Amino acid sequence: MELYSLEFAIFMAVLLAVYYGVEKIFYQSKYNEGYQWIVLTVANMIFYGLCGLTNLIYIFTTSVTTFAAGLYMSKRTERNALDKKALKNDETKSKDEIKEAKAKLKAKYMFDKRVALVIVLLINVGILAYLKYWSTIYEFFNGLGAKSVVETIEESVTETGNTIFSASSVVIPLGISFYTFQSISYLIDMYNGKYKAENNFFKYLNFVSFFPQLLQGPINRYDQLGNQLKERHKFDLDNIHRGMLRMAYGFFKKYAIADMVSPIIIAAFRNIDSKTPGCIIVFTILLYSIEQYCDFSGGIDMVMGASKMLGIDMMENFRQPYFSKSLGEFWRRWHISLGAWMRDYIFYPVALTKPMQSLSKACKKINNKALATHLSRTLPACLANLLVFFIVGLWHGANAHFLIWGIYNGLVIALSDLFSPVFDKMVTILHINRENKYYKAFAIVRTFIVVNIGWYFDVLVNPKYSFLCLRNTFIYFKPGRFLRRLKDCAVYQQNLCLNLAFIGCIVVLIISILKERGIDPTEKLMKSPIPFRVVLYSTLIIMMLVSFGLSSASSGSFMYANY
Amino acid sequence: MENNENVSPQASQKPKRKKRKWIGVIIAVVCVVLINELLKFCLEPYGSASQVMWDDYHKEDSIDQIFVGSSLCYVGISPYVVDDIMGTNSYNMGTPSQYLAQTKLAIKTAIEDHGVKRVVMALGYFSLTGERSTIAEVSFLRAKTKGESLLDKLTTYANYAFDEDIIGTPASLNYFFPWIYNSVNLSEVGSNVQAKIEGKQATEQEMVNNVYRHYVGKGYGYLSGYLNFDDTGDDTTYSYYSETFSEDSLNELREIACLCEENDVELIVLATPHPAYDVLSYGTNGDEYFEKMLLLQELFAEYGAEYYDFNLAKDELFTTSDSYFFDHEHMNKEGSEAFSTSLANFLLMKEAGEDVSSLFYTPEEYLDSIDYISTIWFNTCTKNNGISVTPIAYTGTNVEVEYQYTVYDENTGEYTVVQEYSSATSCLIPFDADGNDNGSMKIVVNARQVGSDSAYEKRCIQTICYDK
Repeated sequence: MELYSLEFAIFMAVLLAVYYGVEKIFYQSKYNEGYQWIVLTVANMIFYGLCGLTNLIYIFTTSVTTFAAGLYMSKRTERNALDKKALKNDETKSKDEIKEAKAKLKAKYMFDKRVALVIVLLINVGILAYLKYWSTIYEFFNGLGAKSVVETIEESVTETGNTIFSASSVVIPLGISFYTFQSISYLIDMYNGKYKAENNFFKYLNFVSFFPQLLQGPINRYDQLGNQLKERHKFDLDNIHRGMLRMAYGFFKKYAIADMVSPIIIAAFRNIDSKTPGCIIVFTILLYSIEQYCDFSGGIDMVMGASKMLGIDMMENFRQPYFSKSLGEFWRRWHISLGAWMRDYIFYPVALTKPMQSLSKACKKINNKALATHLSRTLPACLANLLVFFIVGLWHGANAHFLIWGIYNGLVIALSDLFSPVFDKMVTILHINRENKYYKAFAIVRTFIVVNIGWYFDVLVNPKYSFLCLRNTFIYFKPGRFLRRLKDCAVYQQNLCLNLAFIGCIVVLIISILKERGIDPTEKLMKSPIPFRVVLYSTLIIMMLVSFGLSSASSGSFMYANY
Repeated sequence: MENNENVSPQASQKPKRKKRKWIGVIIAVVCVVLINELLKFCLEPYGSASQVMWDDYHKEDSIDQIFVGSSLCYVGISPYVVDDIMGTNSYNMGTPSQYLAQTKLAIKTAIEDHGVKRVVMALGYFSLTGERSTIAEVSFLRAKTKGESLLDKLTTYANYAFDEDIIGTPASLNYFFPWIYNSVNLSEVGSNVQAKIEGKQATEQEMVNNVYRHYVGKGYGYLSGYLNFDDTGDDTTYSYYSETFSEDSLNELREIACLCEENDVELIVLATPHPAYDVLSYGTNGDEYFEKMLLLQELFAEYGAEYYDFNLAKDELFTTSDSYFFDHEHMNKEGSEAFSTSLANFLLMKEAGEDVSSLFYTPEEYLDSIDYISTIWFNTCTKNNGISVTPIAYTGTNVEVEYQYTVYDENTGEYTVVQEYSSATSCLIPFDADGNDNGSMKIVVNARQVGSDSAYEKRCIQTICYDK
């Protein structure tokens, strides 16, 4: 089901009518939280079911296991607190005995929680890994000539008669990465006793399966989204207006920009060889930058808009990433929810492990005090960053090019951290003012280039071609061949597609600049005169509609939909 | 009055603000609708093939038999030729890229309106891959519902939009914006608008608008032009639609056969003639083509309908010729007239109860019957010292081919033979073979049967650009 479709329009219209209708009927406070959350849970199941009934098996497995484990861990935390309290009141024990008993209790309860955590993590990460990576593992072993090993596993699995679990019939369920990560965050928060567990399974299911996030995220947190899902939401035309505007902006980005350049990218990278000039490679990579951003952030805008219409604000996933002044900042502005997830559940736990702490201590023993301080602070973080980006690469797919792309990002960030004193020194020597607007512009362009070098490994499936393209970019640029090569792409109405995308990019740039300056373009637009709005809306709608006639990317699927 | 005094100014502002918001929404919707209507009027072509077909269809008083299908039918079967021979009144309801659901709708309409007794369906394999053309579907449905009541229009839309392949896609909404898919060029907007204002007949517009397609009447239009066998390329139906038939498409065929069976309508399904290479390109020597043919024969037989492939027609029924084709799948005027004559005679023979199955070759006989080179094409690959050329010739089973590799110098108009006739199926042509080394070269590969002394039977000419 695409969001720009009659099916989704009907789904949303019925949902909004029932959702706000239920609130209107059960408005009295005696109904406590009201029943909107029930409407939403049913809607989520219907949405998920419409996208494929088998999807429900997976989401139920994840929901049931994480809910049960969360509840168990929360109960253990409570029990621990009660026992601690009882110990405190125990006058027969000395202070030291109480302290020792408390430590023992804590260890016991933490052990119980850890067992539950590991088991449920293994189940859910196992399902995700199997569905996402089995075919790659299969191909890898086939490539090694160890065909029989995988075939034996495959046969033993398929013998059960349940073909869903055979590699040959693996279809990745909708949004499995997103809801698995979301559930894991809840699970780890429970382990850390961050907040109380949800006692109602269906309320928890509502959180895991909230339909807007299933398409391509964001990866929400229970303490941010869970409560909103349980609250009452009164009908507010403002929310509907804002939601529709945001959805429309998403449609515009996706259809009038991303889908316009997508076929050109495919055509330009169809036959790469040593004679492919760097000029066309650079141009295509720039188009890919545009496609990536408009496709992904456009999709996020659509789901944010849908959620806003329900009065629910999900976690923002983009904050004008191409205005970043460093790669680290880029990753704090691009796919924010994944970055934050990685930071909280991978980076910090890894950086704070005993080996990392030992490494930090070892660094402190270096004779040069400044170097020792710097290394003890940055080295564990650099290693943790490398691991994080390796996982981010793996999350995109178990393919060499994704892993290289991930490691490249990790390395750039790690090295820039490690060498930051050198850069600081250079800045001082050269009398560069980092607050100067020219320097900021330079930093933005520099980051843009660094990000785009990474895209060489993201867009091309074979790393051999990524390196070849990089080589040609630097030593075989041949700008004179650009127009002929572009013409060779021979995409239907290519020039019109490029022009439309170009105009679309200008619109996106203006909106991004406004946002970057702290101006809310939606608010501004809503307050602008009606004639202005009508002209603007009509122009953008027409541009979007024209793109349908030009687009050969007719599937309308999102680049991030299969993650 | 007292109550009003108690209401705070802010509270009294609220309903006003709300009202203004709703007015804003209504104005925006009305504007979008008006702009859309304007764009429809300006951009939607006045004389689309579907519009012409339906407009002329409504002018017919009585129709005995109809021809349905995609463009293969539209440009392939002339009702005038068929009626001259058979003494019937036929109508061609074929339209470009007609989807099977629309074929079914056309048949149903013709049965209801005219009680037709025979349906001849021209079926291309590409219609069975399940690939749908939004432009064709929307044009067909909008043309059909033109002038109908709003309820009928909405029913047609609902039938289309609630199709499980459509409902979850943008096409389900874009039906209301037909100009997205089907529009005239910007340079033609003026004449399109003028034609609409003057109330010109769609037929007239259709005749004006097309360079290659010439509308004649009764839903039939022919293509003018000839397939250039020197440059057939790898343009074959198989290269575009090699997929297996989709189950949805086969079900549509079953429903069409069922519809005809229930209404006691004779259904004759046929494959229109293609150049032999288009058949041979399916798998190895057309083996995949024959598999699919068998599948269709069996499917229609279940419903008492018959499937005939005129590519396999013997000479006494239809003799093919290179001059009959516009491209790899469509016939031109000459071809469609010859085929329509053959079809009319075939239908008469069937009416007379003659055994028509003997008029078609078996696959083996068909391959034996092709005693010529249907076409030749070559692939190229740029090497360090030249361009490697690998030709592919499409022939029957008993034909042996030899190749000659030459280059053509555009400046002098001379051919240079790089490699004389031999059975070698590849050749490396040096970059300077044509005397120039300017990044492009016109390569000509000639092909003839072994033992022949003709200069060539078929040839392929390609200009190859290269980067050293």
